[in-house]
Amino acid sequence: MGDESNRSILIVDDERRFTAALAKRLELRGFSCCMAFDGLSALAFLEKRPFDAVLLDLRLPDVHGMQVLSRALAARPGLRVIIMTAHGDERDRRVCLRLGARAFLRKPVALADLLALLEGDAGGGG
Amino acid sequence: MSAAPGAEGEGLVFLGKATAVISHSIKNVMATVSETAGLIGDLVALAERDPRRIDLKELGVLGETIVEEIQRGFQVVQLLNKLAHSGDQPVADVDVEEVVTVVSGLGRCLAYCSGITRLPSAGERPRIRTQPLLLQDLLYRALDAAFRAVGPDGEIKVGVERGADGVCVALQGLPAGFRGIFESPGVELLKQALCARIALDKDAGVLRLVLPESLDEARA
Repeated sequence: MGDESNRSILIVDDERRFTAALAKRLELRGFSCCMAFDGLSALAFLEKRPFDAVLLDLRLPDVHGMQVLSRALAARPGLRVIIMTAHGDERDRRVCLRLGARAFLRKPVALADLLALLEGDAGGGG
Repeated sequence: MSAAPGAEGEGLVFLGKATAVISHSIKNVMATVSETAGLIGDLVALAERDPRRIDLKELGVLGETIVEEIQRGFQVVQLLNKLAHSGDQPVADVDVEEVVTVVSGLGRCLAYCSGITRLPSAGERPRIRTQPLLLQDLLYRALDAAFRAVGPDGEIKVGVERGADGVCVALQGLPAGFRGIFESPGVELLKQALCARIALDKDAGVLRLVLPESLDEARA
């Protein structure tokens, strides 16, 4: 398992067990992970500290993931946001990419695909 | 006996929505199982390189997580099965508590309306003769409207009781500003098809859906 020099990832998903397992898998590969289980907590995290990437679900208990995406990118232009959802259709994918998401993955997500996106380039701007 | 044509269309739309909610829930279960199994694989790979790093307790917890998630998935599939069969007969003898259970289960699949609390019924479980699919649709709309009013952290208590004019499903815990579910044309169609009465007690924060004991007699 590789060393990603503690690149920091914020995982935003209300499925707590999924989020915890994914965070642990990424940490074993050298990433540093924070978890938020709703949209407002995610935005609060983003205000407090920079992240290299955000993994964002669309269906959240409080605000829709697309709103989180817009507000996160307005606050931190260039932030690498990857959508991971069990719900999104083709229209959601197009809207999210237009709003500035780097990728749109459907759950269950293959870790190799996610790692390829996270390791693609070091940019982030968060 | 069949429902008004518009109401049947509403029922079909409801089934479509419910199926989408349930498929989303099943995908979430599979994603959790997939990630947890992947994590077990990662930990085993680490232990193969350095046996001192194996944590049997952690592996046990992760195995238990998979079992529990599969149980969750099984319950969601059972819910889908019940919903699918609710359209088998246009009018049937219905256990109202069972309908509340199915719709509450559907609500719990949604992130924003998980705080549903069931109130225990006094006495016998009320059964009525009605259109189960349309009753589920009406109750789902009521719960959806209630949670949009109380917010995702809110709690709505749902109780079933037999009254003088039929069986009442009561949603308690509505905020002062709740405006009811009366504005939608779909609700009006369902209300008419079910011969239901919808009453909002703003002071008490309670929405009541009152259903006749027998739809056949109420329509006669």
